[in-house]
Amino acid sequence: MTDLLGYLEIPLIQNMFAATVIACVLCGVIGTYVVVNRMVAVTGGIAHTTFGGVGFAYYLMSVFAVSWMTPMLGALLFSVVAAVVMVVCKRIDDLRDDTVIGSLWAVGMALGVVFMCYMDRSVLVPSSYESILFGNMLLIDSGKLYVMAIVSAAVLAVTLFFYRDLRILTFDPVHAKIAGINVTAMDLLLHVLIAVTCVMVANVVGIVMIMALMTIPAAVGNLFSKDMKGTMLLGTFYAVALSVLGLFLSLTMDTPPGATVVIVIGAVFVLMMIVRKAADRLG
Amino acid sequence: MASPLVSMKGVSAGYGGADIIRDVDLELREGDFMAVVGPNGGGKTTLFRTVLGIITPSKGTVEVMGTSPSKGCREIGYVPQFGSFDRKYPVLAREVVAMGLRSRQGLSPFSKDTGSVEEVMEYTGVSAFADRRIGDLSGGQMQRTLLARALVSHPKMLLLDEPTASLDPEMKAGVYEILAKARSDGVTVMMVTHEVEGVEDLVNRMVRVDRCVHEIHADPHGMVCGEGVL
Repeated sequence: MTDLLGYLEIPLIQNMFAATVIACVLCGVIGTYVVVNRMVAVTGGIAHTTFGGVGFAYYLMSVFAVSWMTPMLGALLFSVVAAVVMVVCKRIDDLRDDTVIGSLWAVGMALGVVFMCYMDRSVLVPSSYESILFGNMLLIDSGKLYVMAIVSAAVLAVTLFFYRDLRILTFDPVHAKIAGINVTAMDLLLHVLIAVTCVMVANVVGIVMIMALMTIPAAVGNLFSKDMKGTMLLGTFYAVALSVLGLFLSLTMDTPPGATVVIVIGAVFVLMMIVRKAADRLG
Repeated sequence: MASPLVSMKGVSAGYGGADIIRDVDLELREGDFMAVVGPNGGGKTTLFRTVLGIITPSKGTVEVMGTSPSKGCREIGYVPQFGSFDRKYPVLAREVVAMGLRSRQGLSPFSKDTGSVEEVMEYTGVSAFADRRIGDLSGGQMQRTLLARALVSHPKMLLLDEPTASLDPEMKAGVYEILAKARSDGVTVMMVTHEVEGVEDLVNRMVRVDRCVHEIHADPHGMVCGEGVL
């Protein structure tokens, strides 16, 4: 226990905990829209496109010495473009949503691989393919943490402002249109909010495991809440509590923090499902 | 004479370039209670979607409340077909009703009108189950909730797409009772239905939609609109 508390005095560990809490709050809120609107595949597509953005950023940084470009900025750029493309393609009759999602998913990853192939690989150190895909929380410095905090606060503020319209849109798009909501603009906003959230969460658990944090906490919230606000609050509490537990376990067992967090969140989700089913049977 | 609430002149509309309704001429006047009948796939829902501005006609003109459908539809309360929602969505009946206020509130997310919501829930009988999640409502309760959502903004007109389909007779009677109250309060109604039994006293016009729209000049009393009758 003393050892664990001692860890908390290390700035990088503090950053790791702070970044995790920020990502979990975002996932509790934005993940609720993902789950109730069945947008898990959309989230997966956007999340994996960020790999292309990270590769693009490293390429610009190493080959053209573009100093202002960072992997997070590259990921933001690619994920937002992917979100816009998805919304635009929805309006093309001949294209199915899942075709667009699958294409963006694969092409985004492929672009990342190609960009990284052409870059000066020394820039990637101490990072690596593995840390981009599966996360490395020990790479979160104070600068990155501040950016995460500011961007996340902006995402939450926009979501709060448009909470009512986003809920009407995701519950009944036809009613949203009749009520005077600009359905296309609101749909685009929702996709962009998901895109930005994916990038923030990728800092914590990596690209591959974003979907766990984006879906499981909100799914748990939806199991035990009657309304949207309850789902968001419970999902956020679930994500924060179990992620912190997962981080402590990873420090104790010396396992990768992102993967440990995801396993803990997933395992407790299964338990919650069993509890819910048992409660339903008992009336 | 007052201008019609809905005016369609030579309208053809459909999806993906294929027209489902063709050369439709239709007027809905204030105070009408119009039953819209016809076979499945005949274009009843397409007709509604054109009035609501969801589908743009390939030909002809549509005016709603004297303006374009996208503007005029804000004065319309719409009740979609039963089962067109995700019943697992985390939302209370009370919150669904409040969604109907959006057309009056505009962009500001902080405007609230709980008075109107409580009033319409009392009017439609939703108050008894207002704090239940929609997934826990019966079919009749869900339809009452959707009617309350349509009525909460005090629309001039109600558009109902098979509001009593798959409801038992008692639930249907409950829905018709609300429609009767709305009509007596001066709300104009256009309703897609497969049967007029239960609303014969309310209906004053009936049209059959089967690609084209034909006005049926008959007394709806005792007439059950189904296969072979119309």
